[in-house]
Parts: sequence; C-alpha cells; structure tokens
Amino acid sequence: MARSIEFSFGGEVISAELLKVERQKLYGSISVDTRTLDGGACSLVTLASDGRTLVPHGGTSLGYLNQDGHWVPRSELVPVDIAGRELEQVPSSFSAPIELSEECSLDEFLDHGIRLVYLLGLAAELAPPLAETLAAGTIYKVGFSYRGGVGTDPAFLLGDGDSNVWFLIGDPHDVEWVGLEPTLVGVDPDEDEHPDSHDAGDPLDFGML
Amino acid sequence: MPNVNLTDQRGRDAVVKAESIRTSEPVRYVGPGGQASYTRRVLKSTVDHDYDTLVEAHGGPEELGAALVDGDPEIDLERFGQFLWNVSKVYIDPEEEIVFRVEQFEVVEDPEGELVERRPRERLEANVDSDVPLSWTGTLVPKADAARRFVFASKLQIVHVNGLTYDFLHGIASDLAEADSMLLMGAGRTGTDPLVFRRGSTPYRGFLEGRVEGDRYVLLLHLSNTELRRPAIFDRPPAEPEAEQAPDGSSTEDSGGSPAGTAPDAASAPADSNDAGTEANTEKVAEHEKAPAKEAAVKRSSAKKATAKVPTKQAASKKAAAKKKSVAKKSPAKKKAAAKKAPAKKKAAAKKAPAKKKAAPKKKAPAKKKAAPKKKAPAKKTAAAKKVPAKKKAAPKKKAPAKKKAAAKKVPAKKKAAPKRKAPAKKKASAKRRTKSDGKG
Repeated sequence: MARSIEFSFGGEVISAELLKVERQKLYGSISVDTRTLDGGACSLVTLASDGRTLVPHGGTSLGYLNQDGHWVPRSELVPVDIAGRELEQVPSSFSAPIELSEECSLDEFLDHGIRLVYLLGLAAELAPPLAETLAAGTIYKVGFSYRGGVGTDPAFLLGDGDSNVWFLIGDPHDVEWVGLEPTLVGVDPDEDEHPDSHDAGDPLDFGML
Repeated sequence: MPNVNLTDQRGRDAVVKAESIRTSEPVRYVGPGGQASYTRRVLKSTVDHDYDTLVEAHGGPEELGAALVDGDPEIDLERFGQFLWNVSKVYIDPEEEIVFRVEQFEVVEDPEGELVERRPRERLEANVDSDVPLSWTGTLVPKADAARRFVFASKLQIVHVNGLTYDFLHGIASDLAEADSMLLMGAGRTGTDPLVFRRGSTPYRGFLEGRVEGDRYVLLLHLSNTELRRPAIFDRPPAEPEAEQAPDGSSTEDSGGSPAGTAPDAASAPADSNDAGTEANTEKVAEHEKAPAKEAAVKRSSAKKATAKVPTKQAASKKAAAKKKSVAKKSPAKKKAAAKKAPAKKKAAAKKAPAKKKAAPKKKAPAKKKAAPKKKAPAKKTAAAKKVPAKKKAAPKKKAPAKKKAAAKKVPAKKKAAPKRKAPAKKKASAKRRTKSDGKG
C-alpha cells in the first residue's frame, strides 16, 4: 500500500498517496540471467583477498572504528559537515504537512537530476488555487526526507498537461557559467607586485633571447 | 570527464568535454567527543555458513533449529568480524564453486512482469566519442514541455577545450537559448541511436539545453531514459494484492534503472530493500530453473515462437510508446531530413513554431521586443534552415576557385623560383674561385 503524504498550500492541507513510478512500470525491465555453460544458474558473490573465502550477498557490513581501532556503535556517532559543525537532524517528511511556499524557476528545476519519481494519488480534486498555479506551470520546491535524518533532498511538485501531479526528488547539480577566461597554470596573479615585473616592459627586447 | 563529439546546426563537429556536475554535501561521522572515526568493511557471513549449507550439514531445518538453540553453528568465531579489503566479485554455480566461464542472457519482461523475450546479452558500444559525431537532429522540444515530459536523471555540462571550441559551443548555446528549447541529440550514422557513454552502460536520450549571458554560456546535456507519464498499470484494477515492495527498492542486476555511475536509490533506501530485490531475482532465477522446457523452447526450436511472441508484445508496447513519444515520431522525419537537409530543417522550424505557441507564446514575443537581437530574432528562425544549405552550397564553390587560384599562384611562383637554380652556378663559380684562390694560396 502506498504511503500517504500531506502538503500545505494557503492554509489548506492536501493529502495524497505517493505512487512510485519506475521505468519498469512503464516499459518493462531487462534483467541479466547468468548461467554456467551447462545451464546451471550462477549467483554473484564476493571473493575475499585470501582467494578462498566466498561471501554471499549481505555477508559484509560497514563498521565505524575510532582512531584506536575500537568499534564505535552507530548510536554514538554524530554527523558533521566538512567544517566539523554538527548537522541538524530533520524529521521524516511524512510526519507533518509539507509547506508549498517556495516557487522554483524552470532553470533551477533543470539544474537538478531527478532520482525518484512519484505520482500523487489524490483523494480529492485539488483546490482551485493550487490546481490553477500548477496548470500555469508553476513548480514548487520543497525539502524531502523519507525517513528523517541528516538533511533533506530537494523535491519538486509540478503538474503536467494531463492533470497528473508529480512529486520528483532530485539531486542538486553545480551548473556554472563558462567563459573564455584562460585558466593559466603557474601564472602569478600578483604580477604587478612582482619585483621583476617592471623590467618586462619592451616586448621587442631581442637582447633577452 | 568524457569526450563528446558534437555537431552544431551548420553541420560542423568538434570534440569537447562533458563534465559531471553532480554535487553532494559531504557528511562525516565522528565519535564521542568529536573523535574522528573511519569505516571498515567487515565479514559477517560466508557461503559455508549460509542457510542452505547449514541445513544440509544438520540434516534438516528442525535439526538446524535445535543446533541454533544449543550453540552458534552459523558463526565462525575465527573469521567473522575480520576486515575485508581487495575483494572481487565472482560467479558461483549451484554447488557453490567458482565459475570461470559463463553465459549471460537478457530476460526481457513487460511492465506486468511477463516474460517477453530471452536473448543473449548485448553490450552496447560507447558512441559519444566515436568517429560519427552526435548529430543535430533538429528536433526541438520547448524547455517547459521537456521538463514535464521527460525525467532527466542525470546531466553533464559541455565545456570547451580551446578558443575554437569556445566559439563553437557558445554558438550552439546561443541558438538553443534563443529557441528556448532543448535539442534531441542522436548518435550513430542515422542519428537516432541513444547515447551510450561507456560500453554496456545504460543508454540515454540526450537533450541539449543552452543558456547565454554575454560572453558566458551554459550548455547542458540532459540525460533521460524515462518519460514522465502515468503507467498504464496504475489504471488497471488490482487483480491480486501484491506484496508491498520497499519504497526505493530496486533489483540488483536490473539494467534498465539507474544512470551510469550512480546509485539513485541508495540514499533513501530502507535497509531491507536489497533483500527484496534479491528475493525478486531469486524468484526469477527459480522460475527459469523450473521451466527448462520453456527455456529450451525459447533457445532452440522456438526461435519462431519467440519471434512470433515478441513482435506481438513488442509491437503492442511500441505502439503504445509511439503514441506518446512525439520525439520518436519526429525522428523518422529526421532520417528523411538527413537526405534532404534543407527542407527537413524547414520542417523542423515549422514544427518548432506551433510547439512554442503552445508553451509560451506571450512570453517570447515581448522578450524579443525588449532585449532580443532586434533584427536577428525573426530572421534567424527562418534563416536558420536556409543558412545551412546556403553555406554548404557556397562552400564548395568558394573552395574550389580558391584552390585553383592558390594552385595558379603556386605554379608561377615555382616558375619564378626556378631562376634561383642559378645559385648553384654561383656556387660553382665561387668554388672555382676558391680553387683558384686555393691554387693561388
């Protein structure tokens, strides 16, 4: 059974089921079946570095160790960012209605890669204000976390021409403007302050050759 | 950073770079008191201690249960918990022996999970940096439409490698920004193949988007292998209550899912999602094991049956897809366009026009009046198609006489140069002089 999610728009709460849409549901799937030359089914396992130990799927795990090599329980670990600041834990997005307040431009939306696609199974028709804005092409951006934890993923609510409402979860991409500025390696940016910079005046100084 | 061989609207091609621009905020975990911690992969279980082996060793499930109550037969105290490094992946047979030669098949299933086809595995060759450049198909999809029609799972930023390719890419970005559309890029000689970045990786449809801000540009190659549309399965009444799959679960060896080099569902997948996928896979394998006759039928004699079955199902799915894929509809037009370049581009321009009217006719008009290139805006769209043939027609004419002229120039130059051969005569004279002087000396 699909999980329900709630959105809040203009003080009104909209409840919907999250129906996951995958490529397999649209086009079918292609899976790889590996067989021995005799036709026996093969399974993929991990071979340890000793060349003998075969580890089945799920037979390994990641453990956290401290500098002394002692095991650190997961519950004692604290998430920090690259600067060492503790990161705030966020609740699951299913625990409270998600406020639809931030509109997002088309370019900003296109700057994200879409990782998960959900179709909203609406229990009732959308209220006119939201339905109209979605029909007009407005895209709403929210933060989404399925189970809660560290940070949220950018998610987008948008409509299509067929009155479907989509909830897309993405990853940010770092799109940069590109110019012809030369990226010279080894050039001193403070060239003017260089003691020899005053001598480099005459470009036709054949004496330097 | 892969190379991409691109073609522009004028048919010029160049090899440029495609940068991955995916970002992620790095999260570290520290121990109590801010003590740094690091991860190690440890061994939890081996094939010698899995359920099948233990049941076989103890004579049955009940005996195994009793043994589990009495002791820890599932744990090897000597080895479990040891760190793993330099591991590799191998295939094992049903007897749990390493297999060195395998055969791989693709099992094609329709959206309802029914077997459509079983065929030898094919690995598509990479085609984005081959001798045949990605072609400018001319199929333009307004950006607003594209965002609501396709799921862009990943994207690459196309960047120049030198001054010449800067001009090349800036030109492409300008054209696309002016059209406010994305361009479908096609690979292969026909220009209709999907883009494959590495051998055997997921094929994608590529859409090129351009933005321009003065001398700077952004050229994005959006990659998609899924349309944003409601699956037909959702509209059918549920026949049986299906076991609920994990929200983000995906099968391990499914080649139709994730983009190249990414694990899309890993971040938010519940802990048991992999198991669900494995179960699904094992079920599939078991199904194939159970039906050797079926396989044999597919393998040997029923090439006919398979081909008979496949077309019907494939045709049905293709028909359904073809209805909704307007891009696919447009692409054949491009094949024709390849033969008749000039009219095809005119057609493309004609196609573009109504699409834009649908998307945002009101926005574009004032934008052009305000900022746009005043005279160029109307002229470019009509001239866009005309430009190519005009230049192509003109090019050989210009080049040919130029060469002739050059050749003509070269010939007299040689003739003029010929008298220089007198130099050796001088040399001879000087040699004579030298000998004379030597003789004198």
